[in-house]
Amino acid sequence: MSIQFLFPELFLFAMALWVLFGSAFPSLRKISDFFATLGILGALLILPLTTNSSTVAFFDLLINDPISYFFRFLILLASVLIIFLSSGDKRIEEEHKGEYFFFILSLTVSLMLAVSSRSLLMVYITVEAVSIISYILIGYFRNDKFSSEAGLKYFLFGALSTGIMLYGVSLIYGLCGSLDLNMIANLAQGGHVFLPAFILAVVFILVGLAFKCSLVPFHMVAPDAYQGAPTAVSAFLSIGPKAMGFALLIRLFLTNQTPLIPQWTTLASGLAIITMIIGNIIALKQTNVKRMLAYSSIAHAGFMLMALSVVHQVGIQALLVYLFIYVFMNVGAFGCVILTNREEVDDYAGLSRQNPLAALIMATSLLSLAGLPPLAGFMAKFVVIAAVIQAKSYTLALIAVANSVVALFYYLRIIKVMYLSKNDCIKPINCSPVLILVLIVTVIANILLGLWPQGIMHIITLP
Amino acid sequence: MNIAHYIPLFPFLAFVINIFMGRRLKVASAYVSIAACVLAFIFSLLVFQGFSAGQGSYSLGTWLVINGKSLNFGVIVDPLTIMMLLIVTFIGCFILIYSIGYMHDDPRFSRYFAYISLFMSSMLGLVLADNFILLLIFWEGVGLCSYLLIAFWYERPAAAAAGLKAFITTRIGDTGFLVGILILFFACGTFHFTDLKSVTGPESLLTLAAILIFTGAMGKSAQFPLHVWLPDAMEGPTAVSALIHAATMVAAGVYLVARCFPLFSAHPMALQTVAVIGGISALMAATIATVNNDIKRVLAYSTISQLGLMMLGLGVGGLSAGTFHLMTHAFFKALLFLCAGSVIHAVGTQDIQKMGGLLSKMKITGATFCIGTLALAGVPPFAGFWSKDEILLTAWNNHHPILFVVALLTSFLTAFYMARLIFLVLFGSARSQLHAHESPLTMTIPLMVLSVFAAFAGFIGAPIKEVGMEAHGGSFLIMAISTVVSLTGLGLAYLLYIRRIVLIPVSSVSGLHNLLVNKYYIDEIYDYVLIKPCLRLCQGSFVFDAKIVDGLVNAMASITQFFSGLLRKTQTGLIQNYLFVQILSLVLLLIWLLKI
Amino acid sequence: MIPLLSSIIFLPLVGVLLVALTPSRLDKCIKYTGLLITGLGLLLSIYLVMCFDKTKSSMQFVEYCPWLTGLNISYHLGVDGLSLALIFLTALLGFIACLASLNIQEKVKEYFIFYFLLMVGMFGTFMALDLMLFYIFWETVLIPMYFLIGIWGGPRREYAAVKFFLYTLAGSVLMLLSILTVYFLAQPHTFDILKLSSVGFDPHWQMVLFLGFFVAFAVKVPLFPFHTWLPDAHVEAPTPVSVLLAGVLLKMGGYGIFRICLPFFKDAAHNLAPALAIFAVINIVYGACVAMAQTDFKKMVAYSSVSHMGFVILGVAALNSTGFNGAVLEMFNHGIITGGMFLMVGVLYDRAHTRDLSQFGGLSSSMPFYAFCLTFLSLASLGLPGLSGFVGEFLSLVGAFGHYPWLVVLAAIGLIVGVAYFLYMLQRVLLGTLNPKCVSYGDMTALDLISVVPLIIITFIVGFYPQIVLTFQQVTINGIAHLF
Repeated sequence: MSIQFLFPELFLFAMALWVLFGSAFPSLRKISDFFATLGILGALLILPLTTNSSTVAFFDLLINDPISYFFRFLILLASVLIIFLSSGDKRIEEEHKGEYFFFILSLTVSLMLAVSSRSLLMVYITVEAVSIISYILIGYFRNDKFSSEAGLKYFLFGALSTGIMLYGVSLIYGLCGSLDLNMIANLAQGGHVFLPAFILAVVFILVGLAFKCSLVPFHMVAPDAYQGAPTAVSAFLSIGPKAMGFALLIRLFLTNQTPLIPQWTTLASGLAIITMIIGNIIALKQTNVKRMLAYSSIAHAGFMLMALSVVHQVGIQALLVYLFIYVFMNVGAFGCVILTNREEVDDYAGLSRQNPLAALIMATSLLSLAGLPPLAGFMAKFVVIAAVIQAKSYTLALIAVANSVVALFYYLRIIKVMYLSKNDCIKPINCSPVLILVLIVTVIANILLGLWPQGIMHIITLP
Repeated sequence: MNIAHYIPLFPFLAFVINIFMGRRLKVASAYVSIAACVLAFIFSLLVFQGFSAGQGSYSLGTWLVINGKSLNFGVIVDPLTIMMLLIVTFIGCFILIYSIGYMHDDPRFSRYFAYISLFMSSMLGLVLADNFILLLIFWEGVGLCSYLLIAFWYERPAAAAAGLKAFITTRIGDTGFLVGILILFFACGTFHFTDLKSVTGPESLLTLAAILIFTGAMGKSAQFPLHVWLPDAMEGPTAVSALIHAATMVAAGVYLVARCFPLFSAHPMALQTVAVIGGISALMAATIATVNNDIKRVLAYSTISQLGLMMLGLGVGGLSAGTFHLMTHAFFKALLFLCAGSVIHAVGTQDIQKMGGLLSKMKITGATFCIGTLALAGVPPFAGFWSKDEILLTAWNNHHPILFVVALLTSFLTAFYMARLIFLVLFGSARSQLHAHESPLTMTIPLMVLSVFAAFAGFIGAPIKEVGMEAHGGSFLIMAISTVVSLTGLGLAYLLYIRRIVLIPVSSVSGLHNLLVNKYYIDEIYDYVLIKPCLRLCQGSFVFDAKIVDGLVNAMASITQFFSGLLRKTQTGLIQNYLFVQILSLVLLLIWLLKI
Repeated sequence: MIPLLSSIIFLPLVGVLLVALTPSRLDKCIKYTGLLITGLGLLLSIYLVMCFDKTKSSMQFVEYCPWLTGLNISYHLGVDGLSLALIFLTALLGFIACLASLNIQEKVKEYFIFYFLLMVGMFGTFMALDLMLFYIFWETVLIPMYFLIGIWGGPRREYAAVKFFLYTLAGSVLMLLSILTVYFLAQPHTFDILKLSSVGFDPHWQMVLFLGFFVAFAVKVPLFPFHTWLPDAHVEAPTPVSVLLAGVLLKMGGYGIFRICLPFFKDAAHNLAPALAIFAVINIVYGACVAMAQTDFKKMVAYSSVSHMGFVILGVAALNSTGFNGAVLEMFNHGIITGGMFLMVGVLYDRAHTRDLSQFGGLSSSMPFYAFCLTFLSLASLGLPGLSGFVGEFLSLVGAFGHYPWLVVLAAIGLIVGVAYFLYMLQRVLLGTLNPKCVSYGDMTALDLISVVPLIIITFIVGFYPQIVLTFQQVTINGIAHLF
């Protein structure tokens, strides 16, 4: 029964509709975050039941394998954290709350479907769906100039990217006569395709995915979007679509742990290097924390792509660990932006005196992002670099660690301002208990996953 | 019964007591030090007795293991050591007694006795050490005490500077010493003195090692060109000058050469170096002393000169001559310094041009001063005569005519400047308003005792006898020459300073006079050649460190920041640019991958 | 049987908990907790020293338990003659610096939390026998140190803290790469330091990996030209932190060289030893020269550290047991002496609120105890024979002399400069007429004396009878030396 496979998505979608429906009634609208949470938690509960179902579903459009399982879990996890963040964000107005959570849940569903796609058709549809919902969420603050502008930019840029991607998809179909990823992979690995044209097509698709992962040079709009969007949305965008992008990269390029095109390692390493370098270097001079975090997430994308350049199970495994930990680091950092109500770096001055807990959470998240032991971020970096070294790509590893030194500098800047600055910036703190709770969870996760990453290693053990 | 190693412990204990309880003990701290010194003296006598009964060196246990060879806490007992032990403790006792009077109203009275005790302890340890490393420890220990005592009146900037100078100058010598020890160790694998008799190794290396070890002795014994610290060291209390900078510590260099004599005598080049350096120092210092007007500095230059003479004696192969002179010199030079101290104590100035006619006011001091002078001048039968004669004799017998002449010239100059000193200080009439009075008994008793030894110690004879040195061919002739030379010196001074006969107009030798007054400009040369460039180097390294090394580090950060600013500009915020970049990147990517 | 090593490492974590649970207004209580915990740590480490078997060259008190099995990382601790002295040093200076921390006024709670975390990292580094564990402890030190300098430091603390952090991290990421490379090169793959010591890597790789590790250690040591973080960090850090920085953190570099670089990469060590010797001598001479030019008291002591740590590297370059013993002893001695020196600087700074050497003068008159302690420690630091500083330096020189006589001569000349700047400092601070500004300075308090006097006593005892320390390390060190 392939429908069983879709139970979590279906449940979630039902819940989304219920939230949308409820948004018409103020009393229900008020607790739409509760329903959204309920939906995600329900989906999380149902998710394990799907492991027993068939490996392919819906006319081979979807696939049920450990990777899709992991990514669906990851997206649900991120989603629930984001919902908590959003409900703590006072800027999300009461009257549009219902729609907001509806879109969040829809985005979650689309992402979950995307990571399970086995056909390029499905890939295209879900990616497009994700894009559309993202535009809406980014431009959610209709009255905010930046938010609307960011949404528009994201829309135009995304339209171009998916357009290019669609072109690539059609080329592939023309070359292979199939949209099934397995089939395409078999044909390509068997040498049954005209390679230059195939490469052309594949690169076109890559552009669409690279945009989602915000890989340089397809990252251009990401900082603007992250800065303009509601902070919780930025956090989600830095995790969800990115995870989807990487899931699809794995599916497309690394089926059976064999690269789809011979140049994959070069391509991935090259993109990874420029992504890391550009992301980190531009981040150095940012004065807006959200924008800085956007660049930081670009740099992290480079790190993740580096893991994929290792055409080996270890690389994929490392990427999965990285993503999992990345969820907590990034949610922690973005969450602090909501919690503290501050977007400029200088506004954080003296936060450690005003609110030590907020400062501590922020510092932990940032140090974890910087990859310092014993925090989780270190383990994430460690497994990726280990994979790269195992593949004997020493130069790549060297560039990566050099980048992590540069990265430390801008993370430290915020910490420096919070702890070492003499003058205080007095701004009220957004003290939502839910928010604080979820942030404490991220801090604990950042510490525990650093000391005992065994737990997630277990989840992601691949066949 | 092995008791030698207890000897340094007594003064050390006195040091500990005085340093921690000195404030409460007040004057009693002096008695603590003296008691410790007396005990040390008694034990030294016992060791002497034990040695006569056949007891020798022994070891207390492992101190360090170097390259698999263990280095012991060893004690060496031989005539040289015993001589030094007795000199240090004996003279030390009297100088301590003298100090009670000399330092009586000093606010840091007990501190002074603590330092002196520490010095005694180190000095005794130094002469007992049976290997180079242990010796080096005590060697630096005495250097430290010397530093502390020179800078004892640290409120005076000159004293503080003199301490610094003494420490660093001797340290330069010690660095050579250390390297010498290392070379010796690597050439023949030993640090022990007893092994020196039988060392074998590459000739040139061992010579080098010996010369480097000698640089240590040069530093400590203030030999040219490392002598510059000793005259400045006179900033310390005079009793200290007597004990440390005349009788004992400065003799440590001579002791070291004597101790390593088997090494030196096996390598003629090394021995030659010792003799030549000794000769230069002897002559140079003696000439400077003839024009100096500071009572203590004259004595300081005289010390350098006499130490040079000892080195010369050792260098010409006279172990017994050199050590003999060491012993006699200890007595009469300590005496002279104490006399000078007594004079300074009485008149409150050190400028001999301001003194005069003090003999009548300070009878004991004056008389003992005269005895000391005669001893130093080498007039028979005073102590200095015998030992100096021994040196001259050895130089002659071992065919070193030039060095013989140098030694003779030195003894002439010695007689001259010492006579000049006492004539200006004790005789004639006072040249300024001085309210001189005789010093208290605590000061005069040591003077009297020491003067007895200064007069008669020569009859004890050389403490260390060498085989084959008994036969003194032509000894009478040399005795006669040396006596004549000394008397000539005395006479010349008499003519010049009592009779005031101008033999040569000063203006005709003003160049020479200036050269001597300015001490051959050696301090100035050091300043220009060594100290200033060194300080400039240090300043330069600091600038290099701050600007270049650290500058590079900061530049790396700045460059990264600069690129950050540059790259940041690519993010224009204009969507058309973004789209353009997107398409361009796609095209470039395709070109790259398809190698079009 | 309680695991002794783990207790020592994690005792400070108990301190973190206790302090975290204490309300911050009870700052006295927090300070006493600090004393209690570090004091207990000291007692435990003394117990460790007493239980230590000097005759065994193998690891003792070994604790092993698999930790991250998937990554082959294990929790593996042990102590041998190399680490024992450093552990004791850490515990001792940890306690003494804690005494000095009683003067901390602001944010006492946070201070002690970071202080304890620092202790955990330092202890762990010296005990870890698993490369990853070692790395994690190594890096753990950075964060608390950053905050300790950055929050409680002097005027330029932000710059200094960031510089320290970035500089050391830049070094240690290279170590991370090297660790991973070592892991994958070794068959079977392992992070176990003891097993890796007997692997014997391909000579070509040895060179690269040696340098990879070495740069990380050289930054910590610090070796020219990687030393410029040190003066800044020292000058800005509060006194107790300077004590730990100079006393313990610098030793982590030297320890790493002995624990990892030498046993893992013997051939590379052979090939690179001359270069090491050259850099060591540059450190010695150059550090001394720069120290001579300082007008800031603390900066002078900081550069003197640079100079002294050169002897550690020189001893390493000797590649024989004498040099190694000298280097390890020098690490211990330098920790004691320079720790004491920084305390002395702190005592003066507390009174004068300046470290400019020209602002003092004649303090001997008004502060006799201070004068005694400062003179004693300076003499020890300038390598006066008979005090502990000399023995380590001497052994290093002897060890290296056989291979590099000319360099040793140069180093010995550097010692003269060392004498010069210390004496010059003493002259400016203690001697001369009493500076009118300094009349009101009281002498050292009982607390100051309690923290400095133990160091002085150790300096004297070790200097006069070095075997007391050497016997603990000799067997192990000779074992390492036998590899060459």
